[in-house]
Amino acid sequence: MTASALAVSDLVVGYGGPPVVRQASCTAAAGTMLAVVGASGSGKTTLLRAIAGFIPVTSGTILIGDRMVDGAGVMTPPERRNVGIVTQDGSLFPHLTVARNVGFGLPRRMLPDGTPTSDRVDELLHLVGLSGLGDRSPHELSGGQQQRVALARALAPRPDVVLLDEPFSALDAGLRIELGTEVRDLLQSAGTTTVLVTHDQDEALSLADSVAVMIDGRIAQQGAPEEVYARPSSLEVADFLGEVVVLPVLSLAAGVATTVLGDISLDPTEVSSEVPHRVALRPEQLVVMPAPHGDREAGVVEAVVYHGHDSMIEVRLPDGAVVRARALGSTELTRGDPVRVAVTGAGQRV
Amino acid sequence: MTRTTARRPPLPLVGAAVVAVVVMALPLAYLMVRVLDSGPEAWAALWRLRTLETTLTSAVLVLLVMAGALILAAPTAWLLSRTDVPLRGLFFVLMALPLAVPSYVAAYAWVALIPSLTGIVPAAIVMSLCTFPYVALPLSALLRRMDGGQEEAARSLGLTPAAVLRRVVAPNAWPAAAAGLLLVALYTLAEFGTVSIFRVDAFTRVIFASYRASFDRTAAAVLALLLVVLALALVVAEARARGRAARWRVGSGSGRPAPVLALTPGARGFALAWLIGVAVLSLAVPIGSILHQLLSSQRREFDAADFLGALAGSVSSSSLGAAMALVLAIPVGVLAARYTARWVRILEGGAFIGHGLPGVVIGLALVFLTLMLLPAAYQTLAALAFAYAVLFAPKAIGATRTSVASVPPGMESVARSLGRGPISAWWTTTGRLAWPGVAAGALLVLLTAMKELPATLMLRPTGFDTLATRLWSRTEVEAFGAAAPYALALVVVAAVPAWLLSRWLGHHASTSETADEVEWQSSPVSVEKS
Repeated sequence: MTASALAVSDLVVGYGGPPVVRQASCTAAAGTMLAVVGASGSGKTTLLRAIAGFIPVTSGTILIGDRMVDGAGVMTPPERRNVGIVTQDGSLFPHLTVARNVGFGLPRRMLPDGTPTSDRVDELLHLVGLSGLGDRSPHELSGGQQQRVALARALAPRPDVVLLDEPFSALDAGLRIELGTEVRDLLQSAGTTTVLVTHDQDEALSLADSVAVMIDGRIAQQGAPEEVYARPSSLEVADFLGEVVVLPVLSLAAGVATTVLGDISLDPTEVSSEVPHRVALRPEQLVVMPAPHGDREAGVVEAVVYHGHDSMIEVRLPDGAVVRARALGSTELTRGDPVRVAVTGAGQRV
Repeated sequence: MTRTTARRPPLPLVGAAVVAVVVMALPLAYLMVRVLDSGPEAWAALWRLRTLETTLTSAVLVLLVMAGALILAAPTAWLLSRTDVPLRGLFFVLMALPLAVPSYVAAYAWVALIPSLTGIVPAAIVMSLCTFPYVALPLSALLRRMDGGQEEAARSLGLTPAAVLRRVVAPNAWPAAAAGLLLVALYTLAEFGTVSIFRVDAFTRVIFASYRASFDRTAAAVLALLLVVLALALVVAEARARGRAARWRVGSGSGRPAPVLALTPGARGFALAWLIGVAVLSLAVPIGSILHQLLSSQRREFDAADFLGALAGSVSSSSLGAAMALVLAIPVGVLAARYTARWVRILEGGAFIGHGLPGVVIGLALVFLTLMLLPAAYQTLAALAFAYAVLFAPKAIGATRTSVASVPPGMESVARSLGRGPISAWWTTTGRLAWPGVAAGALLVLLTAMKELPATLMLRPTGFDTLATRLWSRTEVEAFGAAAPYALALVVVAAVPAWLLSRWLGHHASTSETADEVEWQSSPVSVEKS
C-alpha cells in the first residue's frame, strides 16, 4: 500500500443542530476503494459531501494527497478540489448529450496536453462500455447506462478521488451486483482512489479494498473486509456487517472462554486483564449435528429457514437460549430434532 | 385517467360534439371566407405600409413585454426558490397576485396617476408587471424541483457558482421560462385595452379603429386574419415548449433537494429591496391609485344606478355566455374524456379554436357574420354571449374533460348491471360525480367573460354597458374618478378565479396527475385576462 490519497481526521460536520458527523477519521490508500458503510442517518452521506466540499466542516481536517482542503482555516471550494462525484441517480444534465455530459468538466476543444477533448470523451465512453452512444440524450438511456455516463463524466478530468454516493442503489438487484463489480474493476485498472458510500454491507464487503463502518457519526472501525467481518471491534459493528451469535462467558482461562457451547478460543489471543462478559460468533461458525434422542445435553431445532444457497437453523439450547447456525445448502434437520452444536474458529470479545 | 377505446361512442354524443365544433369554428371560418372573397382588395390591404407598421409595432411590443417579464421574473423566482430571503411565503403570494389585476385596469390606474403616460414603453412596462407571474410561477416551481445533484456535480467538475448558474441552472430552467414567455407573448398580442389606453398602434387597436372609423372593413378583416395566424403560431410554440419542459427529467427523481443559498446581510438587503420594489410596482401602485381615485373623487361622480346597471349588464351577458359555453363544451369534453380515437383528438383540438384568439378578432368576425347571415342578431345580447362562448369554451371543455375522466367508467357499467338504462346510469354515476367540476368550469367562464373588453365594445346592444365598457368609456374621457369603482369591481372579479385556483391547487397538489391537469388548464384560464 502506498501513501494515503485521502485522509479524514477527527471530522465534525453539522447542519446547525447537533453534529451529524462526530469526530470521524478514515483514510484511503492511493488507487484503492474505500467503502463507508452505515445505516441510514449514520452520517455517511454527510461525510462524503464534506469531502466533496458541499458542506463546511466544523472542525477536523481533510487531506487529498498532500493538499489540505479543509481544516486550519482552509476551505477549498468544490470546483478546486479535483474530486469527482457520482450520485444515486447520476444527476446527468438533461439538456446536454451524453458526450457533452462526459466532456462537461473538460476544456471545450482541447486538453492542456494537446489532445482534442472529443478523443478523451470517446476514450471514456469506451471505458464505460458506451461507445457510439455519445449523441444520445440522457433520458434515452437506461438507469445502468446513466450511471456509467455519470462515472465517465466524473473520471474525465482525472480527479484525485472519486466519490460514489450509493451509485447502484437505484438499480435492480441483478444489475446492481454486475455493474458494481464492473465499476470496481474499471476504477482499479485506472488506478483511481475511490470512496463508496453505501448502506449495503454485502456491496461494501464484496467490492471494497477497505471498509469503514460508520455508526452514529463516527467511524467505528476501518480495515480490510475480511478483518472487519471476522474481527469486529464492537458488537454494533459485528451486528451491522452480518448476523451475530452472542454467548455469555462462564469462565475464562489462557485465552479460552468457556460458554454454553463449550470452550471457544478468543481472538486476539493476547490475555487481557479484564474478563470479557460476552463472546460473539458468526452463524456460519456454528456446526449443527443430529444427536440421539434422550441426549440430555442436546438442543432442539426450533425452526429451519431455507434460503437456497444456505439454511438458517434456529436451535434452542438446554439452558433455554436460542442460537442461529448457518448451513450451506439445504439440511435434513426439521423442527423438533435433537441436535448438538459445535463451534469452529475463534470468537470475538465484545 | 381511465379511458376506454373498445366501445364506440354513442352517435348522439358524436353528433352534438361535431355540431358544437362547427358552430365554434363558424366565426373564424366566415372571416376567412370574407377575406378570400375580397380577392385583390384584400391582397392590396395586406401589402399596405400600415400593415407592416402595425406588425412591427406589435412585434416590438411583444418583445419588450417578454423582455420585461423575464427581467422581473427571473431574479424574483430565483430569490424565492433558491435563497433564504426572509418572508418567502408572503412574497410568493405577492408574486402570483398581479394575475388578479387585468392589465387594462392596471393601465387605467397608472394613467390616472400619471396622465402623461403614453406610448410603447409605458405600455410594455405595465404589461410586463401584469404578466411576469406567467414566467415567475413555472420558473420558481422548476428551480425548486431541480435536482441539486446536478449543480453539485458541476461544482465538482470545476465550475464556479456563477458558471453553474450559466451552464447548468439556466439551460435547465429555460424550457419552463420559454413556455411562460410565449404565454406572455400571446397575451400581449391579444390585449386590447392596455394598448389603446397608451395609444400604441398594435394589431388590436388598429383593427378596432378601422372597424369603427371606416366603411372599408376589408382592411380590418385582413389584419384580424394576420393576427390569428400569429396567435396560432404562438399557441403551437407554447404547447411545444411545455411538452419539452415536461420531457426533461432524467433519473429516478430521487435527487438531492435544490441547494438554498444563505444570503449575506448585505445581499439580503438588496434581495428584499428587489422583492418589495416588484410588489410595489405590480400591486401597490395600481391598487393604491384606484383607491386614491375612489376616495378623492367627488361623491357626485359616482352614480349608483349606472354602476348597478353595468354590473347587471356584466352578469347577464356573462351568465348567458357561460351557459352557451357549457352547452358547446359538454359533448366535446365528455367525448374527449372517454374516447381516445384520433378523430376525437382532432375534434377536441378544433374546439380549442378560441384559446388564445384575440377578442377583437371574434368581435369583428361576429359583426360580419351577423350582418351577413342574421341581421336581426346584430348587436344583440345573444351575439355578445355567443362571442364569450367561443372565446372561453376551452376552459369549460378542460374542466368537463378532467371531471368526467376522473370518474372510473366501470361505475357506469355497474349501474347498468344493476338495472338502470344508459342515460340513467350515466346521470347517477358520471354525471353526479362530475358536475361540481363542470360547474366550476362554467363559473370560470363567467368570471373571465366579465372582464372581456373588445368583443363587448363591438357587439353590445346600443346603450348596453358592462363593468369593463364603463371603465373604458370613463378612462377615454379621462374621468378617472368616475372610472375607479369599475376598476375596483373588475379587480375583485379577477381575484376570485385566482383565489379558487390556489385553493384547489392546495387541495390537489399531492397527485402529480392532477397538478399536470391544472397546469394544462391554467394556461387557457390565464390568457384571457382582459
